[in-house]
Amino acid sequence: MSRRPTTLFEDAIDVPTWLEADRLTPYAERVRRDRGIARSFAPASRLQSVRKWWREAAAGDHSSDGARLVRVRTLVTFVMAGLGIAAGITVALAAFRYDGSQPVNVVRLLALLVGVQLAFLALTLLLLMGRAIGFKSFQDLLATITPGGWAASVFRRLARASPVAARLFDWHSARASAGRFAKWQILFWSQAAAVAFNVAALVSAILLVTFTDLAFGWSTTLEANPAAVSRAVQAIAWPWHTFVPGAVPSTALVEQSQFFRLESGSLASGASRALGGWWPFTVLCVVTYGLLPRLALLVLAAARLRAATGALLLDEPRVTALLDRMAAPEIETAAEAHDAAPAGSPTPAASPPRPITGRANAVIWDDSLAPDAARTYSRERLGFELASIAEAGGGRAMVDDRAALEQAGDGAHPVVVFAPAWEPPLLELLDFLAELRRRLGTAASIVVTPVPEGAREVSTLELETWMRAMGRLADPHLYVETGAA
Amino acid sequence: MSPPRFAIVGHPNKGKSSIVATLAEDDAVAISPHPGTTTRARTYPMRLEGETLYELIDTPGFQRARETLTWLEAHDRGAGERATVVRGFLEAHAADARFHDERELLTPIMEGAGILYVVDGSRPYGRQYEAEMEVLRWTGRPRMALINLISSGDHVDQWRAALTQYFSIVRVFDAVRADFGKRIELLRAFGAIDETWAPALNRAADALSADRERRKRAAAGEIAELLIAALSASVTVPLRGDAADEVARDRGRAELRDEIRKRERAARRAVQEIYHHGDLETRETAASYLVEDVFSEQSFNIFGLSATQLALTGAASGAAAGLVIDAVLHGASLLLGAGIGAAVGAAGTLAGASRLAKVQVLGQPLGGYELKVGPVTAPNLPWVLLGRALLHVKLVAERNHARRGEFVLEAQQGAHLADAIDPARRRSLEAVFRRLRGGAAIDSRSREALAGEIAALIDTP
Repeated sequence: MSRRPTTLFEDAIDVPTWLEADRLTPYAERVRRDRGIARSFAPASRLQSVRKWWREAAAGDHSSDGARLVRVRTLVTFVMAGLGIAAGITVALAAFRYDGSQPVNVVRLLALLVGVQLAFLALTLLLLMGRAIGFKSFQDLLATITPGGWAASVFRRLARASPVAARLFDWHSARASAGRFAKWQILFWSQAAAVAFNVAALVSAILLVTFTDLAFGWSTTLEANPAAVSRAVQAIAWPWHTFVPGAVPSTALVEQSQFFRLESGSLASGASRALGGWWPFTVLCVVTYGLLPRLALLVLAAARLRAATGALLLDEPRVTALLDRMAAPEIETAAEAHDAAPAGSPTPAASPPRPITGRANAVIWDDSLAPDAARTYSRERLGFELASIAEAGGGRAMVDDRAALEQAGDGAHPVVVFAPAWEPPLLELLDFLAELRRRLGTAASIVVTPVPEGAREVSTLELETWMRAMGRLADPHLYVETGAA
Repeated sequence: MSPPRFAIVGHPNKGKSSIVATLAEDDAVAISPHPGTTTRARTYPMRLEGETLYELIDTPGFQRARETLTWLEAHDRGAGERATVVRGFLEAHAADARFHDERELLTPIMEGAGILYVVDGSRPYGRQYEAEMEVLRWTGRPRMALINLISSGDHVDQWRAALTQYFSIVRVFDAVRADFGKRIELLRAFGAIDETWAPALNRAADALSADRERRKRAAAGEIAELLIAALSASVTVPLRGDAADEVARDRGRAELRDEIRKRERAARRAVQEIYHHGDLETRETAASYLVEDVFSEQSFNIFGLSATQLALTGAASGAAAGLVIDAVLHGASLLLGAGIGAAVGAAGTLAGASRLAKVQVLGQPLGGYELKVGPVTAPNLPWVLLGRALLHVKLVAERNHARRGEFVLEAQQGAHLADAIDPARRRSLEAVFRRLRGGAAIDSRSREALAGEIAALIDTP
């Protein structure tokens, strides 16, 4: 049974949560299940594979944090659009305010509807830039004061029940993908509000022009002769002067429509018909400098948000482990012959055979295992055939660590790092893993396997300690797996 | 001369902070099962009348010992210059966040602290420790290794063999289970690291022992006062006529029980104050046996004497003899049959409750009558109060949480604390209790004698 179609955002939240709980399933069973599901559909991209797997794996599992957060996210988007509309109407009414005594001042109108918007647009573009040194604190400030930032805090409050959601919006989250997601989500909300603002302002302006008799003029305290103003107007109207020549105010109109507030009678009463000629210009100003850039940014933010959501799902150690299990080649082992024993065989039901998940390079850290024991451990518990074994840490010199990195970091296979579960993971090991990642590139998996002392199993406290320490590396393709049954 | 200072160093999560908490007698030391809890070196001074006798410095664990050693070896200028090279390392990495932990732990050592290197003997030895020990050797400071035992494994011999390669003094010290005597013994042993420190450490050990003795005597005095007050307590209830009905008797007994409970609570508070543990009751959930009501069946089962013990101590003589016969005839009663445990039934409880204390109707000089309940005649009550007070004082005096757990566990397993009392001492205590029950006044010499007996009991393991 497949589950209902879900959104990518929903999956990005639910899959890691589900996989975390799935850690309690014996490793061999997880490999068998995930490989089985992977074989049931045609090869697809990593993202598609995970989503197809999810539909099968969690079929019937309807309780989801993701669905709730999707609803909250949609609600926040609508609220942002609503606020944009309200602001757009208010600003348009203020800008086009006309009581018949004095014409609508085009200078003030452009300042409100275009100037302010262009300033905000510049700030948005600044936010879009990478984290440039010198701008960092300013960008942080912008991220908090942008309407999208408010939306994010509202979202966090609404979604408080889910710790996942709170993490998503941490701009400085340890995981790069979470930071990217937050950035684009905040920008998306900001652009949604801005587009709604412009549409509302335009509709209000057109309605006012249609149903009322507006007269436009221009007035400024600054020294400005009509010729200069005309040149400025021509420059502003340049983008549309070829398509809509009627929306470019002529020099005559500019001269005719200058007014001084103390000289209320300076505009000839018969000129009002001509003065109305400003409106196509003002509307196109809002469309060109307000609406269109925001629409473009909205489309860009939506596309990048989708990509960032995909990365949020994929750049996750638990998902990397899942993809490794799904991609595990099926190799018959001698143990599997037991399963094929005829029914009624007196052989007691042995524990199911370990699936082989491929080949790997191994590093034995701090003498946690003897090389032969590592081979057996790897084959029996993790299902990896070891292509090479190097040793590092322990009583060895740093130069030996470098040799081990050389050997294991060829990038041909995933690397399993065996470490003593009973010892705390030191920064020295974290240095080693970071260097290993640098050599391997971002794609290859690193599997950290804390091995128990003697015959006992790794304790919950030990496992928790290792997972916490490895989490500090924020490496989406490094995960902890003991292979415990 | 500056007081001896000891830096407690080692691998992360090997119980350094537990050792500091035990030796510094400071519950505020942050201890956690997760590595990396200690991030900065922190000093815990032991002061006597304003004078610091010694200082313990809790430090973070080594994180990059091999890299540190590699640096030191690369800058080696011969054995005589090694300490200088370590100082050079600290200077060269003064602003290097990567070596923050090494800096924190090496700085106090290079400023003159002795080294107490802590390992966990319950986990196997590994060669990764060698770089740490080598770095410590480079400092040239006097040092001792302590094998701590965090969990159940036993690799002490393996560790001892390795540690003796780097340390001239190696001791096993179970920080969690060590009692006061062991702690004092270890403190004196620190003097062996550097003989110039021995006088100050011996003074500190003497001062700590004397202080503990003083507190013990004060606590014993409080317990003695509690017993005297509880056994001589009585309450009066006004009566309507000259006959006491059951309602009035019950009321009188309830008031007497409340009075005794109140006195027990006050004595506990006083004992906690003596040991500076005013907040023990709110923190110490393990001591549920002490939260149990003093008059409950369970309290009598755990803390009281058995019928045989009572008979042997002479409690059953005189007026109490009838009760013993009663008890034998009825099987068991709560107050006498302590130790018999589950066999004690509801009938026993009732029988016991009605025999708590002497009940008399007294005529008032100005007319009217009142009911006097008390003093307590129940032969086991002083033993229950004493047993509870002894457990309480042990829990309070023992800062070591694991040891507190052991006392509670003993109680939970039904070990009768009174069993540990020597029969001769039991008889002499019972003689005092009998006099109190008989309403005799207790002079100050007898009080002191009682307190002395109780102090001796506090020392009983």
